[in-house]
Amino acid sequence: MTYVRLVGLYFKIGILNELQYRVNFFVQIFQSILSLIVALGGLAVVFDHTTNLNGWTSPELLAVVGVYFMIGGLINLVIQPSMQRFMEDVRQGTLDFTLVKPQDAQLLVSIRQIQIWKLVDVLIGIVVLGIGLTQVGKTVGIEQALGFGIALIAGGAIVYSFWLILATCAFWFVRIDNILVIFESMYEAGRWPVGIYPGWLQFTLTFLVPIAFAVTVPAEALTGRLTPQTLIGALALAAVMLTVSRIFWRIGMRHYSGASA
Amino acid sequence: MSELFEIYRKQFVIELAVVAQYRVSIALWILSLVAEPIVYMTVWTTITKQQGSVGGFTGGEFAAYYITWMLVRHFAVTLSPDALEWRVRQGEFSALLLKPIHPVHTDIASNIAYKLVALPIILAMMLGLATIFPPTYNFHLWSILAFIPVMFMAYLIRFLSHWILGILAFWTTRANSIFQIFFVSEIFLTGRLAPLSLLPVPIQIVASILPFRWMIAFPVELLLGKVTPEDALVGFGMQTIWLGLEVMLLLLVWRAGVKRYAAVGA
Repeated sequence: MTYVRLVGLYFKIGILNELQYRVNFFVQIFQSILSLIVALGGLAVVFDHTTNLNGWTSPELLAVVGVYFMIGGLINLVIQPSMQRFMEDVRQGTLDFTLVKPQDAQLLVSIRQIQIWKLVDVLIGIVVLGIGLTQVGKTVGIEQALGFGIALIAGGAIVYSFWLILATCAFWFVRIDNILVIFESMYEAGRWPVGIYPGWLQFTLTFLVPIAFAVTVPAEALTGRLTPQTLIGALALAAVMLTVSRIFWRIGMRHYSGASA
Repeated sequence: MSELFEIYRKQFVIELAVVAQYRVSIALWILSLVAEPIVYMTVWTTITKQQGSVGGFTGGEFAAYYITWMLVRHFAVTLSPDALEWRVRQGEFSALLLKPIHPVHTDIASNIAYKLVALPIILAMMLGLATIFPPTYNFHLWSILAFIPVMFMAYLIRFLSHWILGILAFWTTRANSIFQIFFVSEIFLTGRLAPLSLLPVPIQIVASILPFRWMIAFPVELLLGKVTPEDALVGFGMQTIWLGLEVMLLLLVWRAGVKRYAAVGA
């Protein structure tokens, strides 16, 4: 219960912080529209030459783009900014201030920085997803909606653990910003269902940089392609990743010597 | 002229030393650049597997297109306009303005040094991709020779357009939005998303009138042997016109911008 209150509190602080810079809201809308143009333009060009991509029709891919925006928005809303701040704190030694707080440091580190305007991306994602689904024409049953919800939570947990593991490396390597750049460019690949990629890349996008579980699997759930095995696999992987990242965090903490003063 | 050459040579040596310092960063950064061509290559080859060919491109030709694209993209790397904006905002231009040489020269020299250092990595990645996506090439000797000057022009056009965009920061603090519009245009108009011939005709015309096609798409098409000698000449003419326009624009904007420049910081 304390944790929920804590998360709420940090969100409030995040919102208040960002409200100081209201112009950023319009900057964000502008950026979101540009990336939407790129995503939709890409689809338009591709479907100018074909009617399906590896079995996915154009409205179904529109739904994938919607999920891509939603998840990307969520990552940029809290996971990425918090992790970046955390790595900066390790470098500067200011992590000390977090460690002396009487709460679990992993939780504090994970919710500390919130870029509230990224909610624009989440909203755009929901709208695009809605448009895609209505064009598909099939009604989404309770079963699919449920599968989508579970897949989304599992995907979120997997992506979060992945980021935490990467960020924790900062305890040893201090400068790893470049690795994060790679993640961002890999995330672009998630705009398309991972099934189209060659085997080794599918493997990379599923297990090394887990974009498949974050974007493709939830989209599969909504378009009725999800097998129960995949869903169970996603849940199992989420559990494993959460545990591993927790253990890794503990080991990393022992290596933190503080760099301040 | 020989003085300028000497400046380039010296700057080049300095830059090589600077670049060599950040080998790991550079390798990782380049690695992040391969994702994009692989994604588009996969999308297009998937469609060719379904229906044989797309707009005259077979799977092998798409592979050849994007592998060549990687090379051209590497040669066309410029100083990002964000870096110039940063210089304006941080007052770093003050030191550069004291030097008795236009700052574009040092930037071009450092750009070329970076490209040479990173070239082996790019070539290795091209080879790797070629084993996974077997390309079908049909080279012509003349087009490989013509590629050298065309690529150089293409780089200069892209470099100058980014440089001019960057120094817009002398006037506005929100120049970043303008950069982004330009970058999005590049995705569609330089043949990144798809070879230009697959786009609707009006967009192809826009890409050919504006400098975009001449920055990346044209050298790629030339190296792939998709351009006739006559069209190559016309293209080179367009490149010359755009380069001339950009040099004039640069001189104008630079002169006016420096007058407005109020150094911030030390």
